[in-house]
Amino acid sequence: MTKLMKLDKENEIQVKNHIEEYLTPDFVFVPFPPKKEDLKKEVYIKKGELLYKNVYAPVSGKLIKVENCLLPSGKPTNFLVYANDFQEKREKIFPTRKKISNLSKEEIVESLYNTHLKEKLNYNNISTILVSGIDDEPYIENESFLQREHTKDILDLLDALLNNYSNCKVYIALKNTDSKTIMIYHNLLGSYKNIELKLVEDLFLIGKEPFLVKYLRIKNDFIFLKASEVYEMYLNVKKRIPFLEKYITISGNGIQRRLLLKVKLGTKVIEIFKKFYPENLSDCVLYVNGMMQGVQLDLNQLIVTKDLDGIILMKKQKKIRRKCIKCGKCIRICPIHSNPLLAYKLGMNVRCIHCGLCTYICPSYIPLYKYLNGDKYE
Amino acid sequence: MILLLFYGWYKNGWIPYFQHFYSLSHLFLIFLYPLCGFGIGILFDVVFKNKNPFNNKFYGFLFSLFVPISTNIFIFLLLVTFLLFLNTFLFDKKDWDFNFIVFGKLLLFFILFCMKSYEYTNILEKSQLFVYTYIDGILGHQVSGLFTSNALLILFSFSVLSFDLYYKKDIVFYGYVFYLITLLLYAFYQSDMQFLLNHLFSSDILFALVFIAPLSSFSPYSNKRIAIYSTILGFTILPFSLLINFHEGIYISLLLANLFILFLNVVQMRIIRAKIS
Repeated sequence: MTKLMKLDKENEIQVKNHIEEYLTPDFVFVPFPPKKEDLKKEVYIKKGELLYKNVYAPVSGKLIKVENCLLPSGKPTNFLVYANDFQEKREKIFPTRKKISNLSKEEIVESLYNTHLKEKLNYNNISTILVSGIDDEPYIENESFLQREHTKDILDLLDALLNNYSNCKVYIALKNTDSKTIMIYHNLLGSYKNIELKLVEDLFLIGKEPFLVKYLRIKNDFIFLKASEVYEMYLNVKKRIPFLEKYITISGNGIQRRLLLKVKLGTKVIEIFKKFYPENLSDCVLYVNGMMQGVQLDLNQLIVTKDLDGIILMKKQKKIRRKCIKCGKCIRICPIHSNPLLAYKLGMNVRCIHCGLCTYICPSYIPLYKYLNGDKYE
Repeated sequence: MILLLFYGWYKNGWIPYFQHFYSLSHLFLIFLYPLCGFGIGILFDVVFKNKNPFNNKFYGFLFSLFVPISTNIFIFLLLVTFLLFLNTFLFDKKDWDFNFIVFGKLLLFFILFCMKSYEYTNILEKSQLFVYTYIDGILGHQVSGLFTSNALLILFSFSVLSFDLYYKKDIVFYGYVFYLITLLLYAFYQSDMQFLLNHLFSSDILFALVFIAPLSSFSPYSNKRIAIYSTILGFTILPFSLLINFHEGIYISLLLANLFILFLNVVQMRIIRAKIS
């Protein structure tokens, strides 16, 4: 495996210690269902109502129009726009479970709202549950904050899972630089048997499944979960509600007020910015989902979905793009041993995990990610 | 490089002047080469609007460092102009990674050889007034190019450059290791340990390995090709040096390795283009 690298970061760029909320958007945007027949006929939706597979209504309200907006990946998509009536009317209200440690695996799986998570728990002979509480992107701190806020909830859910797998251990992986989260876990872990902390170096991409599994030398028969996924399971199983609110980070050296926000899925990002950042941000470069793996998008069209982790605003820097000097650093740094120069020079389709390392390392400031995404080659 | 420049001036300018072999004007004449190389490079960069980091002024300066002391300044000027012209209008435009600096060095050797003025020894070394030891050689008293005689400074430069993220130190390391293997084998075969000591830290070889071989624009960038390039380079230095001399031998090896990698590039390009179409 390629040796992962530590990124240069500005240590002073840190989010404030408390979480802000924006849970009352005027409108919510729900992506158009992939199949037309899945489209709901009712104009009025209630909070928590299943709209189509894995998509639940984040508020109650009325469908007013269809609008073309952007997903965090940059893909333009049609969205159903619902006007929030601020009633928070729910379709069904299930009572919160008092105890979840005695639930069987079937009951846990049954309680999950997301089919993707159900599939993850469908294995029987599991020896390890690996939980990644790591934020890979510089300046994005969602997983850290989520764990600090909901440490006990996460541990309770993991304990419930452990009771259903014999001889299974849970490893929670954290960066050794995330001291606040480590401290909180240390204070609580004593009462949870078979749950251990695994501290890893502050390396880029270490939070991703293949790299973390290799780093910790975990053999087969494991389940990999992000801390946010564990929390989502907790909401589904204990509180019996779908995952409708998300943490996003708004940070960078281009702004003074760096925030960790709890927002409703489907909120238009510009609405959040109008409330928290009324100032002019035109002298900033904006990266959706981080500087490394993210993209530069128009905020006016962007919608908060499950895939949005944060928005980084950095001061504009003068970087003059030059001709390739053939240093080969992009090839040697690639964690999956691809050759980005083949995409840049010949327009070839090259295997890519879009980690952004080649662009980060390029001394000639060539935006190699564009060519790897299929842009016209030179 | 600045240290090498000043050591070259000390060895080929200051000492002969101090020993009354040179006049005061000769003392600074030696700096004309790097100044001219740099100046012509700037001219090319300005006129042809070159914004590459490895631009002509760097190449012009680099070329001036290893020329023989007997090089006529006008020949040097003409050659640098010709080489930069060739690079700007042919190799750079066609995106060929041809190492024109190595080609220029061999061309200069050929020209000087034809003019019968091929000479690396300065006036002091020719007079043979001093007898230097092997250690003196490592410290800089070697018969070598204008500014390339101090092996210790070259090794120091390498250690500094090794910390540069973009410096291809693998080429230097493996090239030298392979050269060392051939040198050891030859010395044992000939039972000549003096030969081994004399060429272990040959400053011409070290200079070409540290500064010319890993030049970004002309050296391979993938791991496999770096391995091929270093192997060809390392194993052919000694045979070519024995065949011609220890000043130019490594440049023939460099040219050979460079041409082989170019050939591989062309073949690969054709295969990829055929696949795409």
